[in-house]
Amino acid sequence: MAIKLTGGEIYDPAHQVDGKKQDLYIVDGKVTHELPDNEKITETHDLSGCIVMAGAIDLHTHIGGGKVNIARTMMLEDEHAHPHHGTHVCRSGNGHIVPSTFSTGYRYAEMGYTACFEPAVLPVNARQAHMEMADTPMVDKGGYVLLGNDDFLLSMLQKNVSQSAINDYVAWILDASQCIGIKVVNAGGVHAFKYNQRRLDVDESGPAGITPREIINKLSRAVHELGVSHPLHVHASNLGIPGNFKSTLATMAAADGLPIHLTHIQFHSYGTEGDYKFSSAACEIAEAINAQPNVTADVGQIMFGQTITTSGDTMMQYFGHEHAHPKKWTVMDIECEMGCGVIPFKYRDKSFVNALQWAIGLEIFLQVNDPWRVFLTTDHPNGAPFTSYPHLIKLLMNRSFRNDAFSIIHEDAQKMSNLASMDREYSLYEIAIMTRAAPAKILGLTSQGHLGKGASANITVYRKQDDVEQMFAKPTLVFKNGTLIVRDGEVIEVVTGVTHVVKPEYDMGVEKSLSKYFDDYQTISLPNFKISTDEMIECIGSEVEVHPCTPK
Amino acid sequence: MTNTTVTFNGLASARIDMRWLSEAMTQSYTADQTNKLTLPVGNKKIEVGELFNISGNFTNNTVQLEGCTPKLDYIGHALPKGAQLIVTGDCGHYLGAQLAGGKVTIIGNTLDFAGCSMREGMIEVKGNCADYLGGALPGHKKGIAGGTILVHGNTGNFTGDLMRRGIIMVTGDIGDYCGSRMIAGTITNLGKIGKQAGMGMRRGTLLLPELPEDMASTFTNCGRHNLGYLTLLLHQLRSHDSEFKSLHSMRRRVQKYMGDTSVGGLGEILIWIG
Repeated sequence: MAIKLTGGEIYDPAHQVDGKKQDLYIVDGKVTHELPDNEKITETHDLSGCIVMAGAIDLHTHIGGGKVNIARTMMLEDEHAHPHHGTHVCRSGNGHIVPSTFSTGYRYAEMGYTACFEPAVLPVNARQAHMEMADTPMVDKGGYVLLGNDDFLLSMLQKNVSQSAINDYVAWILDASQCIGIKVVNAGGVHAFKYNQRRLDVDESGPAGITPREIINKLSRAVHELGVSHPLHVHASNLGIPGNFKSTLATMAAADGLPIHLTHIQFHSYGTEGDYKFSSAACEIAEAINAQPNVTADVGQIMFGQTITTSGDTMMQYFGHEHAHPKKWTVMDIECEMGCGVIPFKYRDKSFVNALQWAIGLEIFLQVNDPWRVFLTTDHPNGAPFTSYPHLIKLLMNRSFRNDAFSIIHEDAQKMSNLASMDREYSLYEIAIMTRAAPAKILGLTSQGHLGKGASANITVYRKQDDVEQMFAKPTLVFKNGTLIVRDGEVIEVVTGVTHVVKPEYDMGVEKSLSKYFDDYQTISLPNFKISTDEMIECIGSEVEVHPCTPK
Repeated sequence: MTNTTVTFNGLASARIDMRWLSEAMTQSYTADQTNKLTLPVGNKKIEVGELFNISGNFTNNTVQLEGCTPKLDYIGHALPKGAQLIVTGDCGHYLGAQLAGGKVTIIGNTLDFAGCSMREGMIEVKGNCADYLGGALPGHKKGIAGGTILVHGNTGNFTGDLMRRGIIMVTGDIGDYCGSRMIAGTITNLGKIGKQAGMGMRRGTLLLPELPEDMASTFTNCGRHNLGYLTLLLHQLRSHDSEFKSLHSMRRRVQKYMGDTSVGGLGEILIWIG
């Protein structure tokens, strides 16, 4: 039983294949380049005039967990205005900005995505986040668990415990919460906010006497030493504050040369020049990324229109709450582990700040030379809903389209940006890198993001069109593990993905001190806090794929 | 001119979104055009003609909807000025939601959110209404922002939730939390009223025949008043063909309570005296 895909132009950057015409076979859900003996072709797809890529991977998209549900309930008018009616295969749902779980899965698959990673899983909320993600069909999922503002880690740092003790705690948290990476949100800042502090810079001591630099340093080392593929995923300090690029550069330096991933870096690339005291520091940030091979970043591009910002960064969300549109918002603490802020926001092209934010995001895309180290995201839904990715790809691939869009934004913002002078146009090969090969590489998904022999048959086929936005919005075929799930941009078969996790080794002795901490301070006991693999499969409803760690 | 009549055959397996009817009325569709509109019902899409029998075209402004059942939601959604819809039978949720000047008359009962976020026009219900009459569409910050809702029966809880402007007239009883989170406007009835009326009201008027049960402590008794403007209000209330005509046109003595002081306290609950 084999499926033959013939005549398509293959873009597989992991194997340096750039538009070569080549036949592919799908056998038992895997890709192969030659038909094995004893296999019969049961289905052939003529892909002449088509582009073939691996299924796309979104490494930073808020699709599960408490804050997304708060956003859904807060933006009921959006849910109400965008009903998605059920079909003979799909369940009904609603929402454009924050679609319901099932709709999220369908919309991602309809754009050719086959894996999505939720970047803010609170340890105590991990169970609920996994349940939501288990209800998100079509795509593989995974989560990054939040550390860096929790009382337990801060008390460890206060006591100046050894790096190996921190490594054990980090590994334990990854195991207990069934996640694939560690994320830090405004290291120490969310904790400081609870003590009425409204800012915390990278080298400033918080209420616990710890600087964000120390937290990032210890955690990035822990992630590195445990051998977790995905580097520490960092939401840097001072999000959205003019002049914050200095904190961003300091955060990069805090990793001491160890791998570090800076997320939605557009929001962290602002200077203080000009009449408005708000300017682009994209050049400084891009230069820093180009110069430091240990640094990767996703952009978090904004798009104009209504959206909602959901973040664990209560300090910065509180700072922005006055700009809520419509006027409703929430900021809360969650079990002294982290916080959560949800604020609806409308990005306007006639607003100087919003227009410049839009330009800064694109400037970063165009100035970071290595597409393996910059990722295409809108920080869904914070910058824009994920459904705007095809539009973003067109902005990157088509200079005249980009310049036309640039020419209608706020005039003063145009004067403050050098976007119009940038000639670079992304190629299909580079788009394939930043949406497929690079995310798979940085997440350690060895069988995804490429079309080599033995890869999972997650394949997206686009019919070539002049308008790349149309092309990327409606793939002609999408395969998930060899099953044809989307034809001409519409879901024809519903499948469920797995949850990708890592399980680094650790000393079980860490549970002794954790057990006391849980008994004294937490609302649930330690055994109930942990999510076992059996629970993931039998109760939560998602298979688990464990990726190896190579301790260093 | 003969009226256009739409008759529901009652054969739907799931709830039906009736916004197609407003579309047909505002776009003046012919019966043939309307019959071919597709309608999502459960996980299928079917044509309007399979569920509704339409006689006449939507070229005149008055439409009768017959055989209505509580499965039909969004009847009369956003109808503009001049459009008139007469419904026979019980209606579903969101009757007359976002009404923009049209008139909807229901000879039957309605479910929740009737007249929610309406801006202008008139809804007359010759039966009872469930919860959130004149409230806000879920997620919206304002309820009814203009126009009149007249109910010849009882209403449920949260009547006039987040109400911004306009009048809600109820000849019978009103449930709990009447006028909750009210921003402005007027709610009046002739029967009993449930618990915690005016909870979180900022401004606006509740004009009631008797004290609500469990009046919140955040309302202040301001004594008896002789309010001249009530004569004008009564003139407005008595202009509709309803039991409100029984109120004496010169009545204006009320006991006044101000509240809800937890959110500013500029609202008033007026209780008729004598």
